[in-house]
Amino acid sequence: MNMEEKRLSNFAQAITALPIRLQREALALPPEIRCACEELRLRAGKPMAYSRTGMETAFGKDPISADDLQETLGRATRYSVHSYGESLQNGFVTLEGGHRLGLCGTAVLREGTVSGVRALSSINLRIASQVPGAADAVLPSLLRDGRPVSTLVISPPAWGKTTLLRDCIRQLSEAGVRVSVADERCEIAGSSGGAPQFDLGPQTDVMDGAPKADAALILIKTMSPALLALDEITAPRDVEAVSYAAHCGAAVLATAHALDFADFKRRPLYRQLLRSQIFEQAVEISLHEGVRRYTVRALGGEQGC
Amino acid sequence: MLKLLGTVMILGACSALGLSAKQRLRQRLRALEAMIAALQFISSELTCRMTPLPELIAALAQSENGITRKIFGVMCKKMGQDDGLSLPYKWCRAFQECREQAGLGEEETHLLCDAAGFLGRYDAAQQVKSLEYVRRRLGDLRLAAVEELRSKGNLYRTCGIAMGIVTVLVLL
Repeated sequence: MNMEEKRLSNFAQAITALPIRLQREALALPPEIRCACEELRLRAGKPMAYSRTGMETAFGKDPISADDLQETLGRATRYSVHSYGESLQNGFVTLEGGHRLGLCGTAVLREGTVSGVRALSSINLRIASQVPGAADAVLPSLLRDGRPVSTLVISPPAWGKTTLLRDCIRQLSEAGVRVSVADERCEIAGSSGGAPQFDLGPQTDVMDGAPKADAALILIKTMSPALLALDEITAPRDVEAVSYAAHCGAAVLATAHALDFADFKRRPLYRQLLRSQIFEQAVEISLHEGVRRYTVRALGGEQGC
Repeated sequence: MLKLLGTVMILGACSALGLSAKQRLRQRLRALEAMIAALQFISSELTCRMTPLPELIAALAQSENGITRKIFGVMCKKMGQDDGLSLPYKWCRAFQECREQAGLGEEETHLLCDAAGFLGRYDAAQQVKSLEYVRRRLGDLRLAAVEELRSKGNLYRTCGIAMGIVTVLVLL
């Protein structure tokens, strides 16, 4: 299967979560758009829209109804909300293949914390894709004397952090590095029935579904990785897990949300991460006229690529 | 000889009518017991393993119990069709389609169809609570069915045989 066929198949797999009417509309898009589509946006009262390189284009015929949104959630959870309790609390559902359905609406609060979303108003279907070669530009800087270098990937949401991370894992694994992946949202590997749907290389172990911090500790103890990979450091517990892994001798490859490195440094959680000096370098993703650029910044210096 | 043959046939047919009426009552009792057990299974799976409904239905479609296997087998087949119809609709259709063959009465079919309204929509604890209510109602219907079988079962059989005898006597 070539790259284009693979992307079309990913698109077709992701839209199975949509009601039949919306599936038909999505499948009527030209193949080049289906290939490049990164997200499908469903908003109550508005036509469906696709997004690529951050730009949204409406294409649906009829506006999305509240029933369409509810039906989408039903299909995505296989009509089993109880099986997705934890992730629904966090406003998303991970679909088979690593695709992610983000939910927005009226929050349901229980004892002061969000326990779910009712009266859905918007849904964002993010289509996971594997881009072999996405990490070509940064790969040389990820290995030093055959040893992986602790690296943090920084970018705003939907700019390709996970795609880059996935390809870094694959290429490092193929280069002989033993990699363990803490895949909390099942997005990196897109595992189904225990088997990763994405190619993460021959020496990669994946633990999915568990909180990153817990998974990281288990992986360090049981899989003795040379590199621990995890997506989206967002909580103090994640920082602790990263710190633990680094002090056990494993390099860490992780991602974080920020506009750029300056923005990253302003966040209290990330300042704490920088102070711990775990990461030797950061990769910034920037987007110029629809083209992604990667800048590798040695923490304390900077080099472009 | 012909008279004797006719007598036997009339007696046999009338007795069969009575016995089949009794059999229907027994079949309803079996169906109710099968559904109570199935709901118990669903409750346990929801509580302990948070199993998604399609997997639960697939497991019930492999049940040892013929009635459970029949109803949930049909449901499982419907679930496999990506026709845009919702799970609650398919759940209900399966019960309605299999009702007669499985021996379920109208009241219990309605109860089981109503369960589709909450299954999969809420957290596990809430679903188990609602399932418990349905199970209790089915339990009440089961007790009534046991009583009906005890009181009317033998009556139907006897009536069938008696009707045969009376018919034979009238014809003779």
